[in-house]
Amino acid sequence: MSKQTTNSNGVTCIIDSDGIHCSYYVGDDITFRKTFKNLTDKEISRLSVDDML
Amino acid sequence: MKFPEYPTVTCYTPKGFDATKLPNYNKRHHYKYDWSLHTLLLKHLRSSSKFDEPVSLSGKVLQELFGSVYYPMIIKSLMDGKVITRFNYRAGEHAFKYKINPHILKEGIQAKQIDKVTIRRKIHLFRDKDIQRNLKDAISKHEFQNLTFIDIDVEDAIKFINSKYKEGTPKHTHRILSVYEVSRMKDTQTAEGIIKMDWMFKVDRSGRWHTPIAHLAKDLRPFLKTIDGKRFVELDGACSQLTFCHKYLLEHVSGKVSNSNIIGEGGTPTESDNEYEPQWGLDGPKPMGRGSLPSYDVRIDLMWRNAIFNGNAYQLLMDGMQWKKSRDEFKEYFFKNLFFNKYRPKLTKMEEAFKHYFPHEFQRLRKTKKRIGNKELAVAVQRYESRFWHKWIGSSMREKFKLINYATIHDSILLPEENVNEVMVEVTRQAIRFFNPYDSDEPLIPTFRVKTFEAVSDRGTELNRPQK
Repeated sequence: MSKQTTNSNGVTCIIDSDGIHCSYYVGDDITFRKTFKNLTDKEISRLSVDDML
Repeated sequence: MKFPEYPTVTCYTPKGFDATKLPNYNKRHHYKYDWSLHTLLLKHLRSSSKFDEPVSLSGKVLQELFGSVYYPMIIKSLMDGKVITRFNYRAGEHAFKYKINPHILKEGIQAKQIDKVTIRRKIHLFRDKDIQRNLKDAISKHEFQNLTFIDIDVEDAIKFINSKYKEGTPKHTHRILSVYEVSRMKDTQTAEGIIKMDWMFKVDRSGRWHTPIAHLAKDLRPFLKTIDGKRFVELDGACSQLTFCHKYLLEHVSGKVSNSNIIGEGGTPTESDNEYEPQWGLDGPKPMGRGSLPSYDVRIDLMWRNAIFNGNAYQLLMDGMQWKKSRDEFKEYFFKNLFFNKYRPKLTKMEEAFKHYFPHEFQRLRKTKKRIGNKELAVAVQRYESRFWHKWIGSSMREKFKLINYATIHDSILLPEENVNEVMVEVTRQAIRFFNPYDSDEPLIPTFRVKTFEAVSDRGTELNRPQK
């Protein structure tokens, strides 16, 4: 089972049993990706390019 | 009362849950029990403590979906049936958290289709509110409609995924889900001004559209097609982010971009340079009509500007820094260490190098980051980019190419191969207007490229690969 969500900063998170897989499309074919283990709803909604560096 | 058809909605519930065994079970509410549990399940999964701690439930949303009278009844039934437990976390107030009881979760989770029309209708209407807010103008409506004319070869795509990714891995699962999501786009229906759909659509604050097409993994793009079977190619701008950023920096740090095309190119910035404000002459601001010479100095790194508009800026920097790894690795390094990193007094190696080669662009970039922060810079640049693609090009597509199916993917556009050349001429024409708001003898002309999806021709080979 997995659930996908995109916040207002354009960070997309796919939540599954392994964690929260986040991606942020920068442009010019470059996507920053990071997997987080634990994030609250509020933290997910606030993720931005800063957290993806 | 007969409702129009709404697409089926998927929800997830614990396998060990059987609504019919709940005390005070009411057949009419069957799907409300499922949807409540589905909402709670997702909340648990997204919480840091997973299923260990209680989570809050969006009562307002559920009340709107089920009705304020039924919502407490559903929750009470779930509590009485020992499916969930309620916790009062703020004494004296009706502030509750809930937890799914562990014994219900023992057997795992299952996907269920919600067939009941009234619930499907309510869920779709609820989602529709958000979508309608973003589809107010005719250009956006036209682009949205085009998304519903896109399909995917589900069978071939699934075969490809199975041959390339191990089942159960996140890459495999996410790809399978996204293929099905794209396949549902064509089933979108509109009736009485309401959009009925079962796929993601969100516009973020930079104006980017998040759709199943935008989020489809690149290696699955070859399987996309129009509903009448035409294959897509991708048209994108070379060094796109760099060109939009250049425009943004000039307009917000140095005054108007038009002026930068006229005068003041070259020179070395000094400590006393204040590039936030135009360097007005002693007589104060002068009228800025077309063709008039501004009285302040905007300094441009000509080599950088030529490189970004010719599409070879990354190569130029890679050569300058003697980069040994791949181009994509360089671009990632570039964005993480120069463009979108935080402002810090100490420069990164990338910043040092960029400052050495392109001091004026560097100063503007640095001052902007200091002033608005790296996050806002990223959003601001993307706002330019989405304005260009969704509004300018969207408007052209609606007015000049009404019958051509397309989809915008943040900084590029998917088009049927047979139409790409005529659209490319228009995209270039619009880009010249966008980057040269005033007449210029030497307008800036961005470079656009057409990317075909090679994997289409290699699909057979890919499919024959042994499973990893």
